[in-house]
Amino acid sequence: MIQYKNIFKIMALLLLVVPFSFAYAQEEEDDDEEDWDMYDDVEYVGGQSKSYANAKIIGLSPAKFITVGYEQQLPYDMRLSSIQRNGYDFNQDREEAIDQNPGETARAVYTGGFRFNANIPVISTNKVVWQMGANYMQSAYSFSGDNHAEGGLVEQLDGRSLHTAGLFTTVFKPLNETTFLLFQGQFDISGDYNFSNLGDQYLRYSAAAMFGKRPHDRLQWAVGLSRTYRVGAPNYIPVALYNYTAPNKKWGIEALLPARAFYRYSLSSTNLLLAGFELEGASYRIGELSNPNAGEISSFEIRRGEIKARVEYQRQLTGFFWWSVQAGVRIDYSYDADYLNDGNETLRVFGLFGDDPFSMRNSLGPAPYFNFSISFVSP
Amino acid sequence: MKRLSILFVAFLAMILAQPTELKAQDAEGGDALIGVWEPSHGKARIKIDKIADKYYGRIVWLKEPNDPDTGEPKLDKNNPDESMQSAPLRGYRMLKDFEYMGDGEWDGGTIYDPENGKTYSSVIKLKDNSTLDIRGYIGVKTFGRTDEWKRLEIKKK
Repeated sequence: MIQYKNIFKIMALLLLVVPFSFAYAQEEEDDDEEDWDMYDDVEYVGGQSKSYANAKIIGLSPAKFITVGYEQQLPYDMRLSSIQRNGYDFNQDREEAIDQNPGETARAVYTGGFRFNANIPVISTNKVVWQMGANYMQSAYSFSGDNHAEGGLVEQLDGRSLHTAGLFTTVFKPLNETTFLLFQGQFDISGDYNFSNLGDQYLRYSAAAMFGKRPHDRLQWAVGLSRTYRVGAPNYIPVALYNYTAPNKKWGIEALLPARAFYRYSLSSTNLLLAGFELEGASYRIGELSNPNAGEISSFEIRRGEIKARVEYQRQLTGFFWWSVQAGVRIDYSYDADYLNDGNETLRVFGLFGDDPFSMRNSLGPAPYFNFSISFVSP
Repeated sequence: MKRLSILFVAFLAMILAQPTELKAQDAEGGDALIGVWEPSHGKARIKIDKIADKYYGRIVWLKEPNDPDTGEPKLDKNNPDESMQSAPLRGYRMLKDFEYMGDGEWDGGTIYDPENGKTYSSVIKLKDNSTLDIRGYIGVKTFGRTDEWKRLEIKKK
């Protein structure tokens, strides 16, 4: 009986020890006896793998899957002309037009709000990357004083929010090891809408198509065409992508011209500084200002385009969560109003495609601004 | 006593039978992962082995084995663990802890990217006998990227 007990004990011990010894022995064998040279000369069993250009380069600031943020502009002055349907010549200087046709002046004491962006991969392989996304940007306004012109723009904006909400998709298609195509499409709705008055008259679309090269792991560039509302009114313009990281990987350039361009300096792999500018804009329908007569399709729209010159600091919070703080100056590019007859867009493209007159000329003083956000970033 | 003898023999038979059973399972798919593979970028070759019941992959070949800055063999200098930054990249175990889930899929493992020093959760699917789809992801599988690896056969000298 005692003998059987001993046999069971030995067996149990062997069962515990043998697998670990085997694993250990296998690792030791790998480390000590590997003939590295034999991996030089190989055959591809099912054909050689084809290399495709990666969507990124080394050293880029992390691509963001989900971002939640808050942005605020410090107080600034607004100068607005009177509203005159198609009354302002395209070539007339903006400040001069306001001086000659003054509407109202105001001081915006608060402009800002919540921001959200999600960019979710639908397909992400070495052969194609397809992402779908959604974004939301709030611009709430508050003005000093309460003697604003009845029915005027300031009265329409005071204490209310402009919203921009959009859906977008991006497709990155590498053709071979160094060449790629990039497509982007976006629908968004911008204005002071709410769920009860939301209609398709708010809907705008933007798109871009680019052809690019990625000569090596630290450089990619692309050129193409886009339709964009980044300066307020619709434009068809050439676009150029340029991402570069220096050989020492300490600095680089991240640019998608004319929308944005940044100089990047990496303090460490989890800690970087960006300095540059970004254009941001949309076309807004604003309450009774846009549609003074109920049911009318024709409308005035505010073409808001801003240049944001800024310094940004990004840092890893933990794992794949990063935080970012931006500080800079918001410079007004356009806050003019166009009259959209029967909802038809005006198309000027800086005067190359048309010189439709404006219906309102407005000027915003420069404003310091800041932005704080937290992001869940891409691998 | 006789009953104990029968139990002992049965126990012994069970243990002896186990490897055969495992071998049958492996033949059905699990060990199909074992071998030498090349990622789509072609910069490295990875040898996948089985240790105990899990699968591990180590870098056995680099297209550019030496660091152009130093002329010395490349080190794992992007590793967030400072003590590992002097470890040679060749020989580094970049795939760890994959378990065969059946149906040509290995899950529960991690993949390490030496280019940025990050480790991702990973799942491997066998597309055909010579092709793997290997996905690295963070949190949920949606947030990741799939790469295609090709099987290599070492030429006999």
